[in-house]
Amino acid sequence: MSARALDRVVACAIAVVVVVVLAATASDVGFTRDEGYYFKAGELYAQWWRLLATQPLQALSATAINEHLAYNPEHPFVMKGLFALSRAIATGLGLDVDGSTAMRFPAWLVAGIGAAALYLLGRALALPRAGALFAVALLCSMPRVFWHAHLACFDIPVVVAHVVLVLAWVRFRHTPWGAVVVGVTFGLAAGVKHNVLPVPALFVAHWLFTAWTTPSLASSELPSSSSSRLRIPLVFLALAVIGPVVYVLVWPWLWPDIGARFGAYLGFHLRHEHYPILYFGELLTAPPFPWTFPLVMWGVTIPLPALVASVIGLGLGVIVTARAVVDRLRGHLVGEITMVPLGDASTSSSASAAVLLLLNIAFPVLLIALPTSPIFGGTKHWMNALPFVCLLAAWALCEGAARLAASVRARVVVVAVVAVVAVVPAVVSTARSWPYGLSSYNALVGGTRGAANVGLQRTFWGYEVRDVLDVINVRARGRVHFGDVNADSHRRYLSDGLLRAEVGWSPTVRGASGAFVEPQGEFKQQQIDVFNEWRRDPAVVVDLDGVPLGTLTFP
Amino acid sequence: MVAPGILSRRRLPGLLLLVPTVIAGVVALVAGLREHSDRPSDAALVAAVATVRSTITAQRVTADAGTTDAVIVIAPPWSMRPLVALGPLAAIAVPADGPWADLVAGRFARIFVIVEPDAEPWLRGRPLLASARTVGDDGAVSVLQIDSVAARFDMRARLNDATIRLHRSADAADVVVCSQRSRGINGGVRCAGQPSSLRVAREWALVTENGADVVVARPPPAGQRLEVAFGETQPVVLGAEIVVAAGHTRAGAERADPVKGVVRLAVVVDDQLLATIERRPSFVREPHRADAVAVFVNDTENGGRTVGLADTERGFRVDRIDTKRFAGTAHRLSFFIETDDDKNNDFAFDAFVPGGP
Repeated sequence: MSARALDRVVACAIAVVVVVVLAATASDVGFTRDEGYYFKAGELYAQWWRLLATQPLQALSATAINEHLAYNPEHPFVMKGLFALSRAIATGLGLDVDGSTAMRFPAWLVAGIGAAALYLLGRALALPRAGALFAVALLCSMPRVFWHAHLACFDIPVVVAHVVLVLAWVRFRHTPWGAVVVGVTFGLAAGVKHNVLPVPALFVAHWLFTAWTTPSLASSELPSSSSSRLRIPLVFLALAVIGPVVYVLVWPWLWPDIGARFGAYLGFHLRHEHYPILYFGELLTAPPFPWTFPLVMWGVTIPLPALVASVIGLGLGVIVTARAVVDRLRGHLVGEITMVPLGDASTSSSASAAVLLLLNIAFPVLLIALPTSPIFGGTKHWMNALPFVCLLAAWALCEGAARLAASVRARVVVVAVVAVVAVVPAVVSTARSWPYGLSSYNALVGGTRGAANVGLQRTFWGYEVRDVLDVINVRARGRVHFGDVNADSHRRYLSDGLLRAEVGWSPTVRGASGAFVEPQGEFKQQQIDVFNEWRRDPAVVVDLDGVPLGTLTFP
Repeated sequence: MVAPGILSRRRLPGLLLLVPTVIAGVVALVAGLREHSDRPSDAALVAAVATVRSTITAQRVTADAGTTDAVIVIAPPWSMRPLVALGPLAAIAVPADGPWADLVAGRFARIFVIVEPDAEPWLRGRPLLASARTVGDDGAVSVLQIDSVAARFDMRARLNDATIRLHRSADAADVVVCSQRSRGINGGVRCAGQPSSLRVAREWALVTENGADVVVARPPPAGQRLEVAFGETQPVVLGAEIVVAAGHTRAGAERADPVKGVVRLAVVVDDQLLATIERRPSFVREPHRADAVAVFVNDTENGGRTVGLADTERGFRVDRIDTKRFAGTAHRLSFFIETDDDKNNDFAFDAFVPGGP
């Protein structure tokens, strides 16, 4: 078997393992607030898929699009369309799966594809197989990443979209057909979520840096000092033309009025409201927000060994890049300072690949560090930087092993040992915090209890109620106040048979027959309402390491 | 022993690239195990509560905390599992955040502190604990007891005796007596004809991160004053001082005008103004978080509403007002609340006259 074929087999195996693990653990994770909206979108869009299957021309009409796809225009169609397609297929085939599982399934598939793509990207960047596997293990073992991967949301899918887009850039950008692949990939990726819209600009920066540091490319890709003709690679044309076309094609809602609807979509995200978030006891509600937020949150949420490995990898990337810049400024050829090259050494230096990764790490982080960027949602909004961080960490690991061990076999052993030491604590942390991965904090801050002491956000989106649905089913007499669980998620619990039909949804504590609230930050007032209306002692406290994530109280 | 050549020029960078990760892995595993063991078991919490209960069962404990002379403090304050174990006793439990120590010392004859692991930041620098004795300790949860004295006068417990007036202008005759019953765990009143937000009620309110049992009393519109007066039906015997805690709720701190929304709380004995306490809309900042906040959150950030406020000037906090000249005698004690901008001005206060000489 060729190396490339073996890599494909390994990638497939990774995807299968990820999907199986996600499927096996997903029922523990309650429905998050946003998931409720996407479940609803899935149900509505499923009707459009059915129409498309039976009356395609009618389904493609503006009337049908406006009727079936108008809900939740804040996000593109691809993932919601997949949730809906899965739901429609499951229903059509009469499969015995509940609605939430059917709609979450595409997200698991995408997560599996993403893990495989990360492995393939590592290999495309010339990392040894063990190194590429380490990058995948590092990413998948992070508690928050693993948790997000279960949801019928866009946060992991857009991470995957970003990885696949960079993979396409690395693998295919040099040929005309490859450029088409990159363009199509960009359109599809942007159809997942808007986070990847600026990535082509990063590709431009990467291209400029590569051409500048690789004299042999200068004549063909960049104007040298002696030749000022700019020869822009075809791939940028593909990104500029094919990408938008594909983007529009995979978002039918835009079709009846592309300009107005895309404008409204952009406007929504440019003027996104700010949800409160707790940060060292300060409830951040209005910009300007601290620029430190994404860095600090990474510092306290990424498992410690993964964090250290990441910092080392970033350091290596920065050093190699800086050395290349210095070499170039001095008029020297860019030399290699690592024993393990990153990227295709025959066409460009390791610095070129390192810059590609650094750009794709820096951009999401810097975007969130901007004082006016919405910072709610914990760490998910810049999570798409993490795969590239993991690749740099893997590179540093392989470089370290190469310097310590002479033989390939010995290097693999070193990589394996360090990888196990680095990944096992993360796996343990993920398992221990399960299913409350959003509440996981690392040893730097003293874990979840330490994070509560310093005043960091404990949880989000009301999904913790899943753990007490059985108690609610037994004790509730009528409507229940579900805190941050929205009415759509409540309907899904009813539809999936997880709640008794008689258990209604109450927007307030007053008048309810029970209340589940997240006793922290902006939702603490709901807990206070419970104290004032009923009593101080909850029936159940859902906790992680003793830190309350939710309380269930009955009058 | 380091093998020969291990620190060669090639290998040293290799070690630098790998060893920190290995060390971090070991540290993370050990820390994870320790953290896991920091979660008190249900049995440990039940045992701690049994210790408290055995001491105060003789007390009449109801949902009205004013009828008991005991209080149970929970540290760390975010912990809520002890409330489940406490059951009805949770009615007299308070979280150990904000000015908790100042609000229990001299107010309750017996103070119990249920101490879980990781409580140290919340107990640090509390002189009250100097006299604490450990009455229960199973290794994971300990129970401290502090013998103090019951308050001479507790505003929360006596709120039903208060006379509430709205002074609608500077004209002494332009006064409305507020007597419309309001909701709240211990009653409270509204001012008839006025917005429902204008009320005085004993409630739990988010004046601290985990809330406190206080008297909510939003200031009336500019030019008006809300009066909460005691001693008109039942005399208030004063002591050496009055302890007054006051400040905005989280909502008030976020939404009230940061400058015009300053609330003035005047403390008047008979007709003598003893002190005027001012509270700028802001939320309490815990001392053990101050360093982290200073490093990671600039005052100009988060809307920049509290620029120029020292940590000690933030949020719900205590002032002690000297009343030695009135000690041992009965008086009328009034609190007047006013502001220049009442919009979103969620405000609450608490007061008591400590027991003892």
